[in-house]
Amino acid sequence: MALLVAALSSVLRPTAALLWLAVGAVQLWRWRDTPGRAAHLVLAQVLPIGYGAPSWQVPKRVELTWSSPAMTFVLPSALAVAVGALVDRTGYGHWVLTPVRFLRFNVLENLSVFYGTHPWHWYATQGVPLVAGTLLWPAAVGVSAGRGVPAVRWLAGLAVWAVAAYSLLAHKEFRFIHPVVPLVAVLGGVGIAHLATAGRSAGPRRPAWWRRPRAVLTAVAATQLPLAAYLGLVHQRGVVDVAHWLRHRPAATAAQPWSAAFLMPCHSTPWQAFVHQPAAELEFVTCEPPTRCAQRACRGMTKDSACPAYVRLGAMVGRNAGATSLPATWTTRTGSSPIRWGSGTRGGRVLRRAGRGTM
Amino acid sequence: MILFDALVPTLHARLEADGLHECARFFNSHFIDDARRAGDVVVYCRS
Repeated sequence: MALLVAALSSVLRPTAALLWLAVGAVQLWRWRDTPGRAAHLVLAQVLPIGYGAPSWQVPKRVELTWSSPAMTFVLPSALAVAVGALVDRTGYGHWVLTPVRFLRFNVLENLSVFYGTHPWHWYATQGVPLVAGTLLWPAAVGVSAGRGVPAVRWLAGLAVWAVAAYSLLAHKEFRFIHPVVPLVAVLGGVGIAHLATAGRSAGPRRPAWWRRPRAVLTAVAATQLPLAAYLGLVHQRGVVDVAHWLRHRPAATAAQPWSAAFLMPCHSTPWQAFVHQPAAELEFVTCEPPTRCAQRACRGMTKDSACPAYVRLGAMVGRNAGATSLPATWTTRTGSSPIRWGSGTRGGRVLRRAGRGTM
Repeated sequence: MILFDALVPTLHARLEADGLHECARFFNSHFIDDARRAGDVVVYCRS
């Protein structure tokens, strides 16, 4: 069950697998005197999940039990690889090992730098403080007070491991370290619990607030809750509202078609998964990486400089707004498909279309 | 045609000339770190 949850978290966020690698490695180390158990964990449970996680076949495979030990290890793994490959074959239309491609693209070829880079300390100095907020304060108390408690050391070590590992990748985003937030929250709980018990009798060497756990709790809640409400309900809600608005337009049909173009930086709004208008023709400016010239030609390029067509559209979508006008190749016109993009979009797939009947 | 307010000064005249008019507007943010995403989300429709 725990491994199923681990698999689900890895499905939602592939980088979450990093945390589970550490957990698994420590578990194996603890079981080093019983190789049978360790081998069973890896071969029968972790490998099938690790490979097949994107294919939603996890529960069936984990529950597979066979009488013969060899069958227990080998068959589920082979089945997992086969089913995973078949699912990907169906989805992509050709044979492809998605986990290998994910690793190669993002880590080995480091193509994710196309989407921006940050210095090595960015997570430590900005990422963690931003995603954890004022919870860091009681969490620091928890780590400090719980130094001798194995569970606290384990959780803190896991958080440090994850942040350190993500820091090695040049491309950094706040959401990559969201798996660390629950760890910090638990440590924060440990800290507040400590203040509520031992803290009251803390010696004079401790600051005064150590003796006032209720004040600490109030301060954390008074900062975190309004922030969560503002960021969740107000900040950047327009991009969701507009998708909601499109969704509740009269349904597009062959007789009554309509189209919409998002003239925005790529992926600014939800797409058909939210809009649910399969017959509507939707377009947006894409920012797909330069895989064709992946290795040498595009080193050092960024998404705003790599693709000539993107540069034109990038200028158009406002990077230099005011200094530029529409590119000559960009035109609008009347007709059944009112928005057309000129030949200037050659040189890169700049537009992603969701034509009639497609996803 | 759906765009951020930041782009409206650049495109407004062109869109109007093409027969598109502002038909909806959604508040998006009070502040944002990306100048291209500044302001409301504005929808231009063919009336």
